[in-house]
Amino acid sequence: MLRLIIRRIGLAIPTLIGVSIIVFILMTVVPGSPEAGLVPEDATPEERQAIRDQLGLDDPLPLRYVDWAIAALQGDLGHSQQRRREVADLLTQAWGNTFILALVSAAFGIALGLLLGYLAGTRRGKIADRFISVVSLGGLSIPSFFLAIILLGIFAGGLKWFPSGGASFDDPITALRSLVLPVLSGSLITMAITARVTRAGIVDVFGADFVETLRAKGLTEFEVRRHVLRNALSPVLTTSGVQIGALLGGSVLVETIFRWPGMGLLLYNAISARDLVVVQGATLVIALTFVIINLLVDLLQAAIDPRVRGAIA
Amino acid sequence: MTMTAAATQTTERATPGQHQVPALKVSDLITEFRTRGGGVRAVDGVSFTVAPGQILSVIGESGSGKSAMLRSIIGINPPTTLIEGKIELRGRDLLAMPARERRRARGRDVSMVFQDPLTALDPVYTVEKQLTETISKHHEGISRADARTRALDLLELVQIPSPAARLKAYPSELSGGMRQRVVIAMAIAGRPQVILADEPTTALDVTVQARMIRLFRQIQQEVDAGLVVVTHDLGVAAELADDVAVMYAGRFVEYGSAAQVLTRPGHPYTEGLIEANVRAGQHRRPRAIPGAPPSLKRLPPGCAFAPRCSYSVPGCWSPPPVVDVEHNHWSLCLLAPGETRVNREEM
Amino acid sequence: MKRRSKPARGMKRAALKLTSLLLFIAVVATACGGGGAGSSAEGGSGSGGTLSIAMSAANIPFPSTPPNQGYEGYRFVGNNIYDGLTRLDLDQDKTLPSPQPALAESWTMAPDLTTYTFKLRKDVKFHDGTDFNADAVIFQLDRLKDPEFEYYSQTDAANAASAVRYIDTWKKTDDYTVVMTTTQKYTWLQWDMLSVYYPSPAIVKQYGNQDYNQHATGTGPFTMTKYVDGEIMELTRNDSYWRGAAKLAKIVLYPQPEAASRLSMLQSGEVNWAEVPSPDAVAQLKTDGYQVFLGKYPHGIMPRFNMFREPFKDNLKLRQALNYALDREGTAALINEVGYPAKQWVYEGHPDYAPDNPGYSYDLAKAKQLLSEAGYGPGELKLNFGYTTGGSGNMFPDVMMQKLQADFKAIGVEVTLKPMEWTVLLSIGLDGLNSDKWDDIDVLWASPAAGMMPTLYNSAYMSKRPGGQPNATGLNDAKIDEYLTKASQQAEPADQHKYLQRMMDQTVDQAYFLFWMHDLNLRVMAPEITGYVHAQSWWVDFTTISVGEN
Repeated sequence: MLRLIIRRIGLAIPTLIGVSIIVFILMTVVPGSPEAGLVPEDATPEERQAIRDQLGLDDPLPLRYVDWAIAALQGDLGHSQQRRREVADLLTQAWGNTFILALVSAAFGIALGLLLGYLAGTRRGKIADRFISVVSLGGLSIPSFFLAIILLGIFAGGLKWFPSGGASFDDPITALRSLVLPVLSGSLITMAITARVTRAGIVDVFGADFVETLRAKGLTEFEVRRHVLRNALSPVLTTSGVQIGALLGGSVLVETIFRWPGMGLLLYNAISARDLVVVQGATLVIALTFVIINLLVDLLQAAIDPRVRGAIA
Repeated sequence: MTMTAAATQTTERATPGQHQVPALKVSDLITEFRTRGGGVRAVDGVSFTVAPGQILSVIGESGSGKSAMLRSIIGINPPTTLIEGKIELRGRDLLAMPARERRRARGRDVSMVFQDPLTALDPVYTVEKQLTETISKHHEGISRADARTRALDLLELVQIPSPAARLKAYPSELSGGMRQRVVIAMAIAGRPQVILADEPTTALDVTVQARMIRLFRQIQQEVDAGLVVVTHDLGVAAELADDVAVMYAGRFVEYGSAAQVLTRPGHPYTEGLIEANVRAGQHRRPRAIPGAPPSLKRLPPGCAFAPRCSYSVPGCWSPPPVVDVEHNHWSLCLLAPGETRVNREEM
Repeated sequence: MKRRSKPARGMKRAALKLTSLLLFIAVVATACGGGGAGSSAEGGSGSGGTLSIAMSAANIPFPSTPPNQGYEGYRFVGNNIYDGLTRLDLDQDKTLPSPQPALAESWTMAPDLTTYTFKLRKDVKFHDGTDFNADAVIFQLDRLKDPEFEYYSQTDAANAASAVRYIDTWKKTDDYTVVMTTTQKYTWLQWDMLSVYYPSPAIVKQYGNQDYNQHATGTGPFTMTKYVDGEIMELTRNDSYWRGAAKLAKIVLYPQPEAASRLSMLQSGEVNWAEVPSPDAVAQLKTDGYQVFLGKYPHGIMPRFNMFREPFKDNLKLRQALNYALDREGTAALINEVGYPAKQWVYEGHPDYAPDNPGYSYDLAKAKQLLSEAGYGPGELKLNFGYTTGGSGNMFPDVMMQKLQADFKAIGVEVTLKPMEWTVLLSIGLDGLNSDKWDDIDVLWASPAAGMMPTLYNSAYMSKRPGGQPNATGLNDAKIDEYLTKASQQAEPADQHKYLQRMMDQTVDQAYFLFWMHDLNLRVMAPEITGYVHAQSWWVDFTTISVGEN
């Protein structure tokens, strides 16, 4: 177990370096100048150059990357001229907001998806199955911002049941109320994917030979389904990991619509402003999050499925 | 002659053994799967009895309805399946029981060993969990420790080495033979009166097969259950079975003792099976039966085997009679011994 | 221009497009919810109440000197926390606001037109209680203009460069007198001084430039009492404001770039002021009792031709043809009349509007004829049109561009739409269309604050750029340069306007722009807001506003 963790972290390092290099290169080749938002539109070449010098934009690319990487290794993610704040500070704020939203969204989406997937899988071909299939297909095809705006219009603008945005954690009631709409919109896809994977897994496992053994043993249908569900969990866990990772990366649209200043919004705005240090820092955090989530998923999977245990140890 | 007549004869003739009440008595069993294209009769009026301690082997090609028959007896066919006839376990008709009682009988009174030990066990539960689950199911109120002791006994009974360690194992950590032993242990956990085995040795390699056959005999005698073994391997049938039934297109086409059926077949189909099952060491090359089993959706009139039969005569297109070949040995063939066999080519 | 594709942007664009459709649903839902109009915003206690605003910016503008986020930053943050030496008379909607005394109670310009003497108010204190005086003015000018100064702020200096460009020297002659000289004859320094804000030197010294934003302190009508970057800013009334305390107790600012979300915030009563609502929602909002404001102000969409090369260089007839081909009424209808057809760069009624120049009507026959005279048959001209999809103050680019594409197609000119991020548009403005990065662009979107300040004509649009750089789109007209320079060197505003009118005349005659749309500054407020003046400006005077029945 410990060996696995250490090996994974070892593998993560080249991944993180690779990701940061790719992002660095992408950010430097996309058109648009980082200083464009910092100087007036009639800036003189000198005024412009002064800011470029301050940002180090004209240094050789490898040097810029190495400078950044060395500082980052020492825990210094740099200072954002565009945001006038320490990158670490920005990331802490954004990641905190996203983490809460992602965690609640994931829990809600996965729980509901499991339930729906289970109901559909065990009632294959029946009305409940068809209904759930339509719902989950809808969940996959309705963009989350679309749902977000509809929810916003109905429950915030219209009925005024929930606030129309803002990550407010002053007191638990306010926090819960402010979570409802973003969680509903953010977890839709997770719910849909989990439901589909669960259903597929259950249908698949129901076709397995051992289910006959279980029935032949005289188990009740409920007991049989418990076995089936446990067997079907493995792919669900894998997709859940990906979903949680994606949720922790933040959703630009959901965060924009609900004024939830998380990773997605931070990254989107940083990309828009060509704010390289923030993009680099955020990418690093998101990549690291994925590495950790994947590790957790593998450990969990090993815990529920003995076949996986041998494969990853 | 109709199958009902055949069945009557079967019951009369195929009941050796010491017990008065047969362990399993199947009468006029019909199993029909519902499909979009209409009903498919996988089992079409089969009757037989198995006495406690007796081993019946059902042989036939795949698709002949053997597995469907076993599944109908234990009751694990899809819920939409139509099952008619009688399945009596020590005189109690399983089909007449309420669903709940029937489920309780499953695993306790009648159990089943499946074809592939690699897939017959739940991969994410330990051997112990799967065994004790079965045990607790059929011994209400048994403590966990007792269930575990019993599981250990069962593993010993099926001759698994270091059974205590195996209890902790997951199926994937066991060899194929070992897994099959676990499956057998599970099948006898409820002390059943009838054990059904669906190709129990097919998935195992040859050396393991032999050991498994010995184990089957031993176990079956120990628990004194009736055993129905479905196989397409005539060697297995020869070594294991008291009686052999030959199944084709959902019907028994020949029935008799293993020696009678396998050495003096009374049906061209049985003959074909024997030809196709030539063992190593013999100098003839195995000869497969030409053609394929008929679609159960569209059976030919008369003898279902007629289209593939090299002896068939125009009379074969009418329902075939049951012909007593010898004592306790019948065949569902117009041309069974006693009559002149006419080769079609020679006509 | 290189091909760029970023899924996030594409999605965002799709999202915004759908927004208007969804607004319908939202509005219907509101009607079902019933009576959204009557509710008051949260925390409306205390005299004057609390004004909560959903801004269209993606973030809270920095409370720095100057703020960022363009004029939205000046409007909501800059003018509320700070004062300039001068201020606009935003408490009237009759004329274009012009510089009035503020921290400077008066100023004089020497006859040489290069020396300004500002007399400062003596009764002004910063929010931290320290005195505002000549030292504070010098401190800030040093901070923006002297790289050797201990508290020189590179970021603020860069951001404020336009406003302090013509200042040559600055010195205090006594505690309440500051004398500035300009680099050339220049009569618009009082315009520049509108947006040079004065922070408390004590606070800057205490926290340094780096951490100043969290402690922003000025002399303005409101003090910053809460600031969470990206989330919220709370401004509380400065009771000892030198112009008299504002009526509002508090202003709360939320950033919300998504129009549908701003609408929901308004309807749910979380804010009582929403910037730039979707035009589709206006009718329903009116029915529900919200106050909807529309009015002329200096803001337009005036795309620029690439004058560095063919086809537009030296081809007046082509530029005219395209101007005649624009169905401006049709565009206005598409955006629910929250904008109206432009005849010139500035709107009719603006002091710089050239009288007696009718501009370009919608005249297909004339357009076709001019196109052919310009040397292009139908289908022979293909144009790359670069435009932005984001950034506040751009009206409704997607809808408008589709209309323009159809308009040009009607005379046989094919337009390829090149959507780009706001940052890219800004970069092009800096690089110029003669840069090989951008030289495939024929027409470039522009959304100038056309005529808000005369100083803005100079910047990047009409003439050469400062430092002698060519104009970003290659506009190079000796007459325009002459009129603009002369205008900036007239002591009398009337004379200034005379030259600027001639300049406008020339730009229309030469068809240097696609004179397309003027914005009507759509703004929605809850009914409980009183005292708001819809000035002809991007800026707003918040001191006159109150919330609730006072």
